[in-house]
Amino acid sequence: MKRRAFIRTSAMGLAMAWAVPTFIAKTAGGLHGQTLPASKDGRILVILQMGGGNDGLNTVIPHADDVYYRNRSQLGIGKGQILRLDDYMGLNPKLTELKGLYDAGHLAVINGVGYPNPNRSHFRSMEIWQTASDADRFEYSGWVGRYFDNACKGSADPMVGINFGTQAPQAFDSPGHQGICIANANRYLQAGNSADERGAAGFQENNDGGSIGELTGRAMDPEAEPAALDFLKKTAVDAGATHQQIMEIVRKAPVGGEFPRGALAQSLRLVSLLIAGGVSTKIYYLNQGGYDTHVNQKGTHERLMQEFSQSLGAFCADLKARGVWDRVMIMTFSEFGRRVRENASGGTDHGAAGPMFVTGGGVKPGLYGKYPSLTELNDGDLRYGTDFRSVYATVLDQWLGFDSQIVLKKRFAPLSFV
Amino acid sequence: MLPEIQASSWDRWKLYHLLNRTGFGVKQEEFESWTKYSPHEAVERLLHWESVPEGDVKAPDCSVKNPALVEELREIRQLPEKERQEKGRIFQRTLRKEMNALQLWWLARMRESPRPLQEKLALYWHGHFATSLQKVKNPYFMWNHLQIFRTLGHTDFRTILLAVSRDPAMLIWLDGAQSRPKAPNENYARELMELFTLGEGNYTEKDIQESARAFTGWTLDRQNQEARYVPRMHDGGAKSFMGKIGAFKDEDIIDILLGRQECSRFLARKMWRFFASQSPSEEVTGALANTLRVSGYQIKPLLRNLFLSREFYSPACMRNQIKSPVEFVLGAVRTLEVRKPRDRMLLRVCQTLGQEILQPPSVKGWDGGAAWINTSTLEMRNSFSRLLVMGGDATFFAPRLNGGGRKQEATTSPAAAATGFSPESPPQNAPEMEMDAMRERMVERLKDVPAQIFLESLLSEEAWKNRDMLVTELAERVLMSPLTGKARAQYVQALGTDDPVTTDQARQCLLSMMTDPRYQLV
Repeated sequence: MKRRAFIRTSAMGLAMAWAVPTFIAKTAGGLHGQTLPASKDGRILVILQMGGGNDGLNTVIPHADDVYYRNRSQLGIGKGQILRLDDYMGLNPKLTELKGLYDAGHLAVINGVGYPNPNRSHFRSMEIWQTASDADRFEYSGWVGRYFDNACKGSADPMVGINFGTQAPQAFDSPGHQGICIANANRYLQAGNSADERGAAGFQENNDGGSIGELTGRAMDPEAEPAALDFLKKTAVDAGATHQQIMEIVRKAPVGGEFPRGALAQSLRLVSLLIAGGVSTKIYYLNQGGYDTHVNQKGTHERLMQEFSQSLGAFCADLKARGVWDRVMIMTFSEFGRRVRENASGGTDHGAAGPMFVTGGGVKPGLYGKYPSLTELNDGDLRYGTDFRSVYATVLDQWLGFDSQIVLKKRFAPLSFV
Repeated sequence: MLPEIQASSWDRWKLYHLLNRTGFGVKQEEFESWTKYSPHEAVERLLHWESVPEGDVKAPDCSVKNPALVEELREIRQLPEKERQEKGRIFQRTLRKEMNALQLWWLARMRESPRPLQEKLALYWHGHFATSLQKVKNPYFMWNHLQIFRTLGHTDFRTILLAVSRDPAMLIWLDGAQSRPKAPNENYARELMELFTLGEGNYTEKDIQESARAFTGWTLDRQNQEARYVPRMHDGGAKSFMGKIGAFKDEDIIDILLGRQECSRFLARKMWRFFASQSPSEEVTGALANTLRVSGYQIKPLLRNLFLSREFYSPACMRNQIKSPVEFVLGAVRTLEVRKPRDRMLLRVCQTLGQEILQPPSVKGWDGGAAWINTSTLEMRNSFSRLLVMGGDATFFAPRLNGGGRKQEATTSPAAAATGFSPESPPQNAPEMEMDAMRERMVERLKDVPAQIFLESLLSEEAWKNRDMLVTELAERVLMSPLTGKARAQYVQALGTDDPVTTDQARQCLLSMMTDPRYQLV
């Protein structure tokens, strides 16, 4: 046990003085691949969360329905501007890149997605979507976490899941794998461009930390006795093992296509680099916040739609240019849609069912799910026609090739978009 | 009542624990002044902070109403479009600076106040009623909001709830200012029950709709910069709320909520989680909830019982809580006596680590505990420790280029309209360019930061001659817990064999303690 070679840090500031057992640092790249193939050819899922409750009615718009315009006297979007998908519905005018994907035969639009007994609390509804539980049950582990635990048994690779943000989503919570977080994609992207960074990050011969068995595989149930130190040790090991790997890939990767400004686009740019660089990550998780538009929705929602569409458009183009388009599926969701009727503040309040988008090389394009009726409402809200877990089941069974019943604990009827 | 700790079992480590949890780390010299007190005396001293002089504190510019700003905004609005955009942008920049100054002011209070519990409790309430500058966008309102917690935080829950319900910042944050009898906005009513008083599952959608009506009438007087009750905007009709029927107003709803057992349990649990541990037992929650009810929801008796309880000093609580970013950052600055703390940088670091004061991520506040830590934040915490001890390049804490700035603009504008403080959305690229320019200036300043800690003054003369003593002194400051023989031996060995110990070796030793996962615990 030597504590001598304390720190060699880079300009990035990596200061893992405490200890990654040397063998882990050296074999970080070799940890994965025990059950999952290294993903040079593996399939990848990118989950994009539209946080705050996206107004589905102004995303996929029922332009042929007068009831829509009657309920949306301020916020209704004119028939002429809507990007038509068919005679009944069309996309928000700012979703031009999505319309392009649709026209090119790459986009599936799933309408009326929700769950029984919808909850209008952001936090509870988000929890339901992320844990894939019934509305009346409380589940601790996340559905992505359960997938990792079951599909990646025997692997200690923390890179299976990457979340963008300072806090991992509950979807990642699981006894075995929590994935890693990247708070700021630019830290890597900029470092990759800078010559000073070359050869900078690194681990010294290092020490301590207990055995790998002791450090991994502990549940972090927030309700359980804390054992905070074990958790900290495990995270320290994961951080050390993954940081170098990402830096390496970013440094080597070709620059790639243009991306718009903004955290969402820049995060997607890093995702594209990582996929092309062949990291073992199966699932990427990103969040675009700001959809909680109770007041003066119009301008805000337009900007969000535009950011969403432009970022996604750039990402898809970049994936194609890098030759990895066929391996990637992108799925979007929001914790709920909004009320059919706009409120008195030029906004909309929390609602229920909403649309999801799925795109990628393996997607069968088209319109899925029944568009919810605007007159047969449930307490002023759209009724769901498709359970979100049917969408998850389709992605798990058909795309990731893993039995969805193990993850979702029930059998949900699949859709045919894969 | 929870059973109390025996005065005979009181020791240095328990005192560290008490001072850490009621403040933001402790300077050695301050610590020694507390050792003369019994646990009861120490807790009373902490609770009755009014008797401790606050010192000479200058309030920030935004602490007073500024009619000139309101007037300026009115004028800007009447300008032709192009000029309006131009002036509007300058105006927004002024606001941003004031908001930033407010954040820095509070951070400095946490760092320096001789009444640490006042600020720690205010931080608790800030997380409880998590309201953000991002939407409020008015520094004067946010200052007032913070003062509720700083000046009333130790009174009683009813007083606090009522003040918050009628607070301009809250009226903006949860849209109460927009609520009208014909279209009551449910946002405040929902969060009041879900996040402020009862917790999910203890109310119905109907309760939300009905109580939302009771809160109508409180609106914003933008000209005078205050909340105002307008009787004709109040829905005076009968409401049916939690089994009771009446022409309820805001106070009545709050009283009904306080009458619910769940409310006392909710608050007791939440406070325990903040001050003591992640997982209060049923016994703890029940006992503290009872303390609350018996005292009419007074905060001091609750805190007294909590800080004097045997449970608070049990292994489940002591050094078993993950430091929040503010505790982590200020704790290092205070305990290691950083001489000229750069608050602007400290604020950035806290933000990077996931906790920007006065700008919580959502109305739910910060989850805390394990949620603070992931591969990214842990690495950045270690980077910050390294920066303090060794100095160097700190540009990784600079604001994001093209990052958060754009997103913030997009998400804040509707609220800005609500405050009447945002003339027009600025053109798309302007804020980004401004952000980039700001970032570049910051990067320059952060390129070569000198070491912030001076071991020469932290360690005794003896320590430089005696490795064992050096490790003991450092460990007491940094880890605030006794070192086990094994860990001690490692640190001693790490100091090498040079005699006397060089500053560089001592620094390495300090840094290795600060990057030990144990250092993340408080």
